[in-house]
Amino acid sequence: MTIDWTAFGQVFVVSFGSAVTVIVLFATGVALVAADTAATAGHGSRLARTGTPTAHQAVRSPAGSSSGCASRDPSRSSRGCC
Amino acid sequence: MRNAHGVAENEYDSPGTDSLVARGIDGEASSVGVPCAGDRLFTVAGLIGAILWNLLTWLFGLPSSSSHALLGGLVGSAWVAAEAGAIHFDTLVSKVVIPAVLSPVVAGVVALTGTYLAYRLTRRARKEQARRGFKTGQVLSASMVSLAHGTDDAQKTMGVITLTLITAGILPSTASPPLWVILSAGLAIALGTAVGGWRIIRTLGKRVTDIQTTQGFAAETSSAAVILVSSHLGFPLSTTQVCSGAVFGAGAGRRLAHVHWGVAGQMAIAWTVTMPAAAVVGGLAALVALTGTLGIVMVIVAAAALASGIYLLSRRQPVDARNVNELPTPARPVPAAA
Repeated sequence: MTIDWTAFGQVFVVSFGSAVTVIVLFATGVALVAADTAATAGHGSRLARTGTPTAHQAVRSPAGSSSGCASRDPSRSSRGCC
Repeated sequence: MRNAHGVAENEYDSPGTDSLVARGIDGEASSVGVPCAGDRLFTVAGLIGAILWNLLTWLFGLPSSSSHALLGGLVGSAWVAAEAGAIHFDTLVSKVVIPAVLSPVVAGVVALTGTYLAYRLTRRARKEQARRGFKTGQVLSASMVSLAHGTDDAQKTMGVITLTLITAGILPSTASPPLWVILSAGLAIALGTAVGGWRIIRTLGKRVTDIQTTQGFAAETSSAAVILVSSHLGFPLSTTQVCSGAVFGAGAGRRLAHVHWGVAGQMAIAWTVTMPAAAVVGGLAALVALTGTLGIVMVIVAAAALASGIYLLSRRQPVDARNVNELPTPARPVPAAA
């Protein structure tokens, strides 16, 4: 009974290397994309907190809404409604 | 790979496996333990053993190797047709049993490492964003698994059909599979997966552990890599066991993930008894079929009745796309037939 341990070793090393490489590269890409999106979202929320109306808010906030900047007088502050 | 060991040597190989399976059984060479009977009855009896065992394990949602079932069925029918001395047990151990033990270990280690790294790299990313990213990646990784499955298992189906055509005298002994055989094999595997794959999907996707998209991507990438590399380098690893091992590895690779090791035990039992059980059924079928025409008819009728019975039993608790993600956690009892 002969077992080709060399072939088995090759299978293990090559499949381990290729699979882990693909997974690491893809996961890194996902992490980068997600981090970029998170940074953008964080920036948006900071802007909202500090009061500068984002394009999103300007479009979506109805006039007279208690939560939107449109209900306040923008002339009170150079930075907007806050 | 094209040497006197026939099926055993070539059974899992990608290039030319189809014709090699046929030659291994029918030609001058002897296969893993299968003598050169060159008889259609012998092939049919072996196939019946494989089909019935595969249906039984499918009923219980246990992924068992169809290759091992096929080999077991052929060994059983060969044992009846040409006695035990014709079977090469040492080849059987080195080419089937040991790779069967190594397959899930290799895939499991690769998937475990890949899953751990994937979670580690994306730990600071938004969960929903990461989930969407890996879900997109799964389209590619699942496609690669399908490709690997085709390069491996579809070849065996083609080999069996070609063997039958050769033994029937329709094709010359050196013939390669005709186009219609290739298309039929591909279509049959696709249909079988689409129609009956849900039980196995539930087991691997829900009963082993609750697979998330990151784990799915890692398991599929690992499985595809291991199968393609082993096919290319000619080391026989079972597709079923590679995929199952990868799912367990992916389950264990996520922190705090709960892996149902009881299900692993059930699978291990099913894998252990697959060859002997298929051999017993194949041997019995050969024993009856070799008695004459009436025996052949009895075998075919009995096989059809058993297969229909298993199918009807499966309809009591159908599993399909609508309920594949439901229930799973409580482990089912080990199949009595095992």
